[in-house]
Amino acid sequence: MDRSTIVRWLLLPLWVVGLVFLAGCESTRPLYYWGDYESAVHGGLTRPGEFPPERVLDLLDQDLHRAESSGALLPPGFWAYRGMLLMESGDIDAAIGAFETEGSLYPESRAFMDFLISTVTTGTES
Amino acid sequence: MKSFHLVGSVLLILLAAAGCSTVAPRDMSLFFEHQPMSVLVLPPINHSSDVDASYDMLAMCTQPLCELGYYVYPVAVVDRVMKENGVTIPDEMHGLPLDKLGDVFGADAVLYMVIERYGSKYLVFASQVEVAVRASLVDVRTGQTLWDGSAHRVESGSSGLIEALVEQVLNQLTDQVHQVGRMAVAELFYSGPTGIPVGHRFPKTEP
Repeated sequence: MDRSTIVRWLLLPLWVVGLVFLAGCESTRPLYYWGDYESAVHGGLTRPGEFPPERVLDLLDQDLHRAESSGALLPPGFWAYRGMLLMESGDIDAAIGAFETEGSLYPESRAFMDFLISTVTTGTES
Repeated sequence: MKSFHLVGSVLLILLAAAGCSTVAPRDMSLFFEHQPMSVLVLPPINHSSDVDASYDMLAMCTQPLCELGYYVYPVAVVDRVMKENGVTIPDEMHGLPLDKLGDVFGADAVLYMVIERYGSKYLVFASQVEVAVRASLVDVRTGQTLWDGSAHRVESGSSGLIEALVEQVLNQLTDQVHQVGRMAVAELFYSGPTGIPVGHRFPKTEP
């Protein structure tokens, strides 16, 4: 073994330290599966003509399948948004179900989900 | 060969150390005293000439804030509820009393954003994309400002390391102003000591 090979081996730990260090400050993998959610929300907000509820629901359904098959968590707001779209397309029961799912997945949303459910139910009674 | 390894590994450590280092952390005691768990992001007030700027930026904010560990209210649903109740423009939404927002949404904190610049500026030999935004996070119960920050990015055609990373991670919207908008949002929320601290859903110990 010549000297340069020895030096190279001696310096190997330095490389390892550097890489571990770098990995340590790198942000970890995402908490949620994002898929097309943001584009769907953006499209629905800025170009509602191009993104009617049915089309956005399709996008969200694809996310739902992909998240379920990979065991990933859907982000805060996903189910509530889905509920709003279901409500717009007239499926009130499914909308309430989606609001309930959001509320149980994310207890922080409970008050808002209860508010939405109450608007939906009073809306159908009148 | 020897010097390559030495210099390379030392540079790597320095780079990593620079990336991790915290520079003069500011006083965040008020933030930690109230430690919000849920954030209501209101549609930003738009001072730019791009009519889509407010909704663009509104849609961009959910992901980074959720990934920081906060519950973020679904922005499109919030917008709709506001409009159904006769509050139609961001200026009006920003003027709503905090106790009302607390009642309806149950939010711990409200994020108010103002877009100052959003769009392209064409110069003689090149174009520039500029996004400037400021934001403040206000405690719903006390009305105290828990955090505030601003970001200003001017980009030409060239792309550096951060830009490349952002483009790689977030490649959904190709429009240049969207990308610069995302950079501005990332800078606003994630920039170390001036960013927003992580929330309760952020993993405590890293695997």
